[in-house]
Amino acid sequence: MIAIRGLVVSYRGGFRRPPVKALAGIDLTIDAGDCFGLLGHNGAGKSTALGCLLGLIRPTAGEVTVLGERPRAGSETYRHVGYLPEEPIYHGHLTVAEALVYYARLQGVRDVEARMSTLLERLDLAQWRHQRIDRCSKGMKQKVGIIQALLHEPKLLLLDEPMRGLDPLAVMAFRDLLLEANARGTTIVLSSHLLGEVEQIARHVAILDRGRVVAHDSVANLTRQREPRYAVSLAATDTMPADLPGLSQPTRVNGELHGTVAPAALHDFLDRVRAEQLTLVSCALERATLEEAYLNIVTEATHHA
Amino acid sequence: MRERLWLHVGSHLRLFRRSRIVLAVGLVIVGFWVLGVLPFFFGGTDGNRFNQLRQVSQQLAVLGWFLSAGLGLFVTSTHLRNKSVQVILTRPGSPQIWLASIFLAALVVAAATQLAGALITFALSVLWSVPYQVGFLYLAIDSVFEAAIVIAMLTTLGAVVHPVVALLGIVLFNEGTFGALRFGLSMMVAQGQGGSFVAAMKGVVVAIHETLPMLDPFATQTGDVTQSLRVSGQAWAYLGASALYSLAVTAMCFLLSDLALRRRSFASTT
Repeated sequence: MIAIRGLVVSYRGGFRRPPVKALAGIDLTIDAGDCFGLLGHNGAGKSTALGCLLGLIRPTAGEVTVLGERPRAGSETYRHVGYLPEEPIYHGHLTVAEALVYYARLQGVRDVEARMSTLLERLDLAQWRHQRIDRCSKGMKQKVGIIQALLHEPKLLLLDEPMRGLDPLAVMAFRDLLLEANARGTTIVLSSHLLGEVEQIARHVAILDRGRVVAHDSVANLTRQREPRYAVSLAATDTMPADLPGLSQPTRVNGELHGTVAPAALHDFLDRVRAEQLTLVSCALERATLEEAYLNIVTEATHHA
Repeated sequence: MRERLWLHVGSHLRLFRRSRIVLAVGLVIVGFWVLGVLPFFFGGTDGNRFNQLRQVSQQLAVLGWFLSAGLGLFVTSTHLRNKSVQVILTRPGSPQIWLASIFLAALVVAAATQLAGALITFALSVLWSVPYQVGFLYLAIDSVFEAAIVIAMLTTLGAVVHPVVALLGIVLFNEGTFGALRFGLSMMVAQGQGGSFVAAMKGVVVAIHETLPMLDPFATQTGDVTQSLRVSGQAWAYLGASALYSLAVTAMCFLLSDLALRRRSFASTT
């Protein structure tokens, strides 16, 4: 679906300033049907990478193919691509409905009314369809962007900071739309700072740091703990023994005893719980969040640099 | 392709209609025209109606020309500066179609304003019982071709530089200023002033003057039409030649604008 080989992008640094290397030779492959997150801090090169995928930025070196073609402005390949820009850069002089029909017809879709109405309803924008875009709030403009990207049911969705400016209900509605599109086979590439949201949607992620890919793996692998542990909690009683086998870091909170147990000690721990007739409230394998994994990887990359 | 072209033209025309800047400029222009024309309604006599009608017609042509001249620049700079062009470039359809639509939309307005001017002139000729001369129509058509040249030049500049710089550029670097400069330098050289520096300057100025597009390339040959409003067969031929010249300048400006757009990067962030 997407292949990036040795992609380098340098921007002019201005008068008597050296060029700025936004991408320093990245390699990425994104398979059809995947939901892929592009992560990184500000200036890491996410938007530049998306710009190259869309043919908006000419690479200094390297090769990019999207849907089997080199991206270029106005390519017929874009019939199958939906793009949500980071900034709400839509035609402000048009109303929401006019702009959506305009964009859809440029995409080659003639009959858009039914799908447009459905999407407007789902994103709670239906009552604003006759509002001029330049009079819309930031969140409303973002919804317009989401709808224009989804309206033609693309094979590939490229989303730059898609949750920006959205309220929690809109985020949920948008997440559902993305998951539905992905279930229908749409490949999704999204760049975002909201790692919690990416974790809920993406199956694979690449972490960019100073124009380089410092991690490229599945979300499941990245969030897997290096030393897995089970988080357990028991209903606390006055008669419970002072020490339970394998329980580390015990703390009492609101009448419950919380702690962690290594997998090797779990059987002995549960046997003792049964023997003492204690009430086990919960027992689950602890996972790192994507945010923790991201911080570890970026910190490590910074140390190596 | 044709559908996409007209979709873009429709969007640009909506931009003109809904823009406060265009509305303000339009109101100022109409205001000036009304102020200039009002005395004719109150102080005219049957004897000078023809001259008054000619003045009204010329004013309408100039003001219509003025209104439409900057529209291409307005669209180009609006979409390039707020990056909405990204939404167009990431959709199927050649960017040249979008560019052509800007030229076309501005030209549609130029033609519409000149048509409106011609209709007003016709209505006044009926009202004042002055025989309508085909020269009025001729001058209106000629103004469309002149407007097309300015539209093309400003649109090209708008694709390269900030709109204010583009406007300054067209005000400073036009056929008129270089014509005057050429004349002055020629006089100095003829009088033996300035030496080799002035002679070299004259060479540069002459080269630029010859290169710059002219607004009315056959002004000398068709000057009679402006005065008498009678159009000979030869004048119509010159009008045809003006159309071709205007088309050639527009085509050249289109190619330059396309080149400028190709060299631009459209990233919203780095």
